[in-house]
Amino acid sequence: MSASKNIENRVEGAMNSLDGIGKASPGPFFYTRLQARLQKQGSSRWESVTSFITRPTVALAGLCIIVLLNAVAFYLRPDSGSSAATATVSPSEQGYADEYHKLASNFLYDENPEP
Amino acid sequence: MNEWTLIERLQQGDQSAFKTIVETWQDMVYNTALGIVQQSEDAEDIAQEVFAQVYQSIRFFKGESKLSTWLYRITISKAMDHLRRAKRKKRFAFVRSLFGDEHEADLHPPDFHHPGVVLDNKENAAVLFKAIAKLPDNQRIAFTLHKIEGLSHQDIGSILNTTVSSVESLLHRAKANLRKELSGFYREPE
Repeated sequence: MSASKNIENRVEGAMNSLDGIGKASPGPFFYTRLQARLQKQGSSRWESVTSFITRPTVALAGLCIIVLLNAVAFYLRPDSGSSAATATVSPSEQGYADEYHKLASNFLYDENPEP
Repeated sequence: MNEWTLIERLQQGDQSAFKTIVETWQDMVYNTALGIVQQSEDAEDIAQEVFAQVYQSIRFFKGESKLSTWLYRITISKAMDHLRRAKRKKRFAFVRSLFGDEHEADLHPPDFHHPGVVLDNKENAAVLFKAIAKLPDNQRIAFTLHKIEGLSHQDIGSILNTTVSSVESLLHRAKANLRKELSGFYREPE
């Protein structure tokens, strides 16, 4: 038999080697292992979030942002530097204060009735 | 119980429906993954990933295709991702080997023996699997689905979203490439 014919036969043998191949199955208790994986995935998501937040660099950066936002809010507040504005009381505010005082004194009166 | 009832029950969070789906299709998913990645541990890992994805994204399944078709698509996508990662790892192992840090298993994986191949054909099948691993991705998928899963051209077409004639062309080219590769292999002095 010539060498090329021999090679051809071997090629055909290899090409037909998968004829009638059976199905492979995963190992036993596949569903149990899958359940364990799903549970691990669920908990690892929270673990990854908490581990990210508690990283020193992330925590420090977060703290800096909060301090910066507070500083900005302090300097940009509308009544900063105008103490006169806070001293003046509008008539409506005065009326409200008077009313509240009356109510408060009524409550005091009601709560401490004379014997 | 029909397929659509199972899907609806799983969409409502029924665990027993999920168990039924896994037990019904686990062999199909595993066998397909094994045919593509040619590693039993990796195939099991991929099969688990596939069902984990099914569990998480079943609400997006609209029933436009059969559940098995959807499962095949997820399996193929995960298996190909795995192969791409393995290829990157192999490249990295090669670079490391240049510096003397050789990882034999990464550079020269052992022959793959599919558990479904009859004993007489084991050696020939191992050579064929080596040649299959060298095929372009789409030819490799089409050939695996046809030979290992025993799917018809029409089924392969619906999984790959292509026509029957395209599948036939893919299979024809795959076989031609395999014959060429195998001839080269047997011509080499052993």
